[in-house]
Amino acid sequence: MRVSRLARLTFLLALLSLPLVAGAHDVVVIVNAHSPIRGLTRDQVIDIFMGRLRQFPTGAAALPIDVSDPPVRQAFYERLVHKDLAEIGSHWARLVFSGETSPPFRASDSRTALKLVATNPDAIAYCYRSAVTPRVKVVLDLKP
Amino acid sequence: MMVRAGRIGLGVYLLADALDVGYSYLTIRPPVELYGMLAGDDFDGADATFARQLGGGVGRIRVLGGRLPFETALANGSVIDANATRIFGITADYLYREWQTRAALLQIHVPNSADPVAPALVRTGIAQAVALAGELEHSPQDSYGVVIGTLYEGDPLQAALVLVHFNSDYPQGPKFNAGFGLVGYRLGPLTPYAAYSITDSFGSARTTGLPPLPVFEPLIAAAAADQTATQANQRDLALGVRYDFAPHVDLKAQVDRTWLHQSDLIFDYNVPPPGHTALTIFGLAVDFAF
Repeated sequence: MRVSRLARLTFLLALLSLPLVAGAHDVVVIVNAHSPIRGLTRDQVIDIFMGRLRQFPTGAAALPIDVSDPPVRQAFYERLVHKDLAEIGSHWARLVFSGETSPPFRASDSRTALKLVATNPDAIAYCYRSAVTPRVKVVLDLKP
Repeated sequence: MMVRAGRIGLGVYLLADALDVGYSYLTIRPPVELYGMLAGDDFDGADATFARQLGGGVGRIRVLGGRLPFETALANGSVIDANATRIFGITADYLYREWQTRAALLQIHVPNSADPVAPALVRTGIAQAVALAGELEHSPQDSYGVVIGTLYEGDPLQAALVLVHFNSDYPQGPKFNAGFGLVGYRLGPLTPYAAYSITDSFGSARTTGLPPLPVFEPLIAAAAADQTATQANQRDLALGVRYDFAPHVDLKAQVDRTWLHQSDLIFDYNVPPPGHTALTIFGLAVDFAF
């Protein structure tokens, strides 16, 4: 059976776009594009976002930013620490009401979080890979 | 480094450091066998915390000191107001992924103590009774505690184990060993759990040396009660489930079986336990945080 050139081209384009579509919902951790941080381990991101240590490995202060948007927030914590948002809420209740630390600053949506990271060299946040802009850089990819 | 001053949570036990916020812990109430043995869960003073990355995790040292602002009610109905009591402590934590381990040392210092029974013992003129009065009013009075614990917050399993040892250099002081274990298993919005807690006081009351005559019997009994007022021998097995049915809100149902032996940690002072007593307690609670 002869396959038309158009069909072959369509198939090839579909194959090439598959990684893009599949990776679009990867959750990535981002910092300012000019930050000296080149990469972070999962454990280092856990320490920053779970209130254990508000510092980058370089010793510089880290300003974690949470995103209020439930789907990306749920995906981030599910992949980072395998917890749902109720468990994260309970975790922060324990830390906040014992006065140990305060939760991350909460941005209203991913766009606001990206803007904060782009304008603050200490900020660290997360978003879907498809939302990354040239003003931020990816330091950790949290694959499902 | 973080420095705080003011009224600060004691925070030496791993779980339920925010005692009044039920949403922050798994069980319906923190184990009274641990938290009920220390008078007060906060202090007025200052603490300093140093944290750094250590290995793949975070190491943390905290030093604390201040005044314990507490009143404590005893089984005989009397109330001790001990606002001059000082507390000093150091805690060391290591946090790595789902694990947290803590060791803590505490000193509770009472600078001056007036004992209600001591004057009557002195008036007897009997040497052993007078000597006991001196020990009861010995100042200052110090108690020392050691806490070790580990916490695992994985998914779906979470578990905790905390062990406590406290001793005092005066007869009325807290002298006990206590422990708490907890296991929970998350199934979607439900987390069934089981917890076991125990406290055992050690050390017996020192005798007055008074002859067992009717005129001395009330004083002999008062001296014994004075020395055992803070004692507790109690075990608790709790089974329950936590239901996170909405953001920042949970519903908990728990049943406790509590075994008491001359414990100070009972709910109704009008029902004194003459020996061994057991209670079954049903609890239902809604917690929320905002």
